[in-house]
Amino acid sequence: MTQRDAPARSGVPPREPPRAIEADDATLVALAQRGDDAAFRVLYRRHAQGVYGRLTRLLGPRDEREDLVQQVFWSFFRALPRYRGDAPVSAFLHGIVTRVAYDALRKRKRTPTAQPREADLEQLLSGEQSPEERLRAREHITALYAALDRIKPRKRIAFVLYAIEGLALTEIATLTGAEPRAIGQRIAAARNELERMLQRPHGRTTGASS
Amino acid sequence: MSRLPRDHPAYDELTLDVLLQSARALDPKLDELSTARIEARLARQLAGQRARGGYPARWFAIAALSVAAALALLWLGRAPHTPRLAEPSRSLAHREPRRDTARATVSPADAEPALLTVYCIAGVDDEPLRSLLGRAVSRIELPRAVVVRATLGEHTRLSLQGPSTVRVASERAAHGMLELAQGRLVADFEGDGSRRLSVQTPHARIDVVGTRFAIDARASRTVIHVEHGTVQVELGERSVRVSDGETFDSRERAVRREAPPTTLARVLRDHARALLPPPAGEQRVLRVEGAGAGLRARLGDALLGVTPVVALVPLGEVAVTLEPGPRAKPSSEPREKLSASDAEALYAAAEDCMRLAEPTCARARLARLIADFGQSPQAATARYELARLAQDGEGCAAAAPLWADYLRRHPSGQFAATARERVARCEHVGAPP
Repeated sequence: MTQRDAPARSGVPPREPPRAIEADDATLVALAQRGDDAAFRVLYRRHAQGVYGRLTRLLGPRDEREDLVQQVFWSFFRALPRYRGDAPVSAFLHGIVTRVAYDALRKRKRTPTAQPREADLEQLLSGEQSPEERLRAREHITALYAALDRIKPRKRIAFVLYAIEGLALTEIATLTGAEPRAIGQRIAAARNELERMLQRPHGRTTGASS
Repeated sequence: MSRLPRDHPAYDELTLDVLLQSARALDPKLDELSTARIEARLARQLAGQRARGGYPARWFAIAALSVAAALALLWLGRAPHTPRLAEPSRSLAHREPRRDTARATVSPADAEPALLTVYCIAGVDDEPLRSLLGRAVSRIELPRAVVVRATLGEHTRLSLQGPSTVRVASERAAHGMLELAQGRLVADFEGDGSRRLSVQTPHARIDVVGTRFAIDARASRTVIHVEHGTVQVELGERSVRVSDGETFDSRERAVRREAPPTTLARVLRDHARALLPPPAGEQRVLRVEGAGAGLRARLGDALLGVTPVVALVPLGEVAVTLEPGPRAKPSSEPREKLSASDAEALYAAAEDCMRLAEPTCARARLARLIADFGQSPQAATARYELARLAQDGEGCAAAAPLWADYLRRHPSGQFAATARERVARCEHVGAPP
């Protein structure tokens, strides 16, 4: 343990200034690669919201997201020796997010999880909406993710990244490791399936394009 | 491919465009407690990784060996009969997060004031939850197998057993009100003509004047047992009085003179056995049987009755006297094996929190260090740091007992002179240090 010297004026041992908080990602990664856990935790704090947001949009409002955020950062930690800094940390993390989400969706197919709870849905909505708007939004999110749950994980991820996250085909291809052409096919197939699922009971389809 | 149910509420305007628009407007936010909880788990994983000596090459080897072993077993047709390996001894450095505590949430009272003060937690391994010791909260949501003891003002002492959710609906001294959405609650309420306590469950409202009672609130019904005293139960327009030794069931709508149901009997017994915190300002001496390595466990037994795993006491509230005695009854759960290096690891973790200017995190770790390694050299510095953090955050009132505690234990310690100076300044009215 560090023994601290008492300064003359206040009598309080000197505190080291907060370190690494202001450092950029590259510096933090370099520190973390040398074994500085505090730097890694600053990286975690900096990127946790982004990771959580993307996981939520890929998977829907489910309990498992918190565990998956941990899994993403643990995978990131384990991948640190391979990270060379040629892409931003956020891009590298989102690649991991995509893989983790894909695995979670495949696992969910085998062992279905519980439906989202009201509280989880409510937490996602903006605080500025009126109660009616919130109710409507909750219904929409439930319906959308119920439909997404019925298509294959590969198509679902491509579709969500394109239609909700607004990424370009090339970006999705980089994240998923597939060809842009294959990604385009998956998105088209997912859209067709979703539109068929959203057909009204008497057979009339609703128009949909995004 | 299947379609959505015909009666789905979104059919009236369901188009993919509309749904996607709603999804794009989502604003998912990882709240501060969840962020801290994940960070704590990651920190444990990182510490474990460092303790094991590095990066995953070894993991890959272990994984490859495991896969090979599993394949060999499958090939031999013995997979279903694979003997279960004994659980390895756990240490602080590589403890895995418990599944049942993963969803524990506690909302600190940020905006609204509240009186529910958490002072003792059993069965929980979750750092954010434990960091609430001694703090006021407005709502507690507990996972399974977690017991929390708390006070509501000076006259109500509660035991809450998870899974449960309780919220302070009103904090007025004359009429406190709790909402018990689900779970088991035992309360001692010292009432008189001027004070009342009410508990609202999904099925009934229980008005209490002065009693010890237990409530089991579930989705289907609410069961109330009164150990002594009387409570008034409001069920819509109907009102029922439940007195000593009686049990009321909202489903049967009947009062019976009978022993408490087994679900409540144990909570009641533990609550009665638990040492309750003294009223504010009163010093109480707790005598704990046994001393030495198992101190923490026995302290937990004394404080929590029969279900302790972890017990921490806010410093300055309870004085502990150690006396030799027979061994206390061991807990049914295995104890963690802790070593001196864990004390160093804990102190280093607390230092990290201090460097990152996170006093709550630092306090939790320092308190843990003191509770687990009270005799270690790090504990002295931890006591000093706790007092300093209290001084910085809450001023003299909170820090004075901690300075006194430090000086009592380490009268000639490294920081004794500083501590005396701080105490002297605190005693000097109008001159905060």
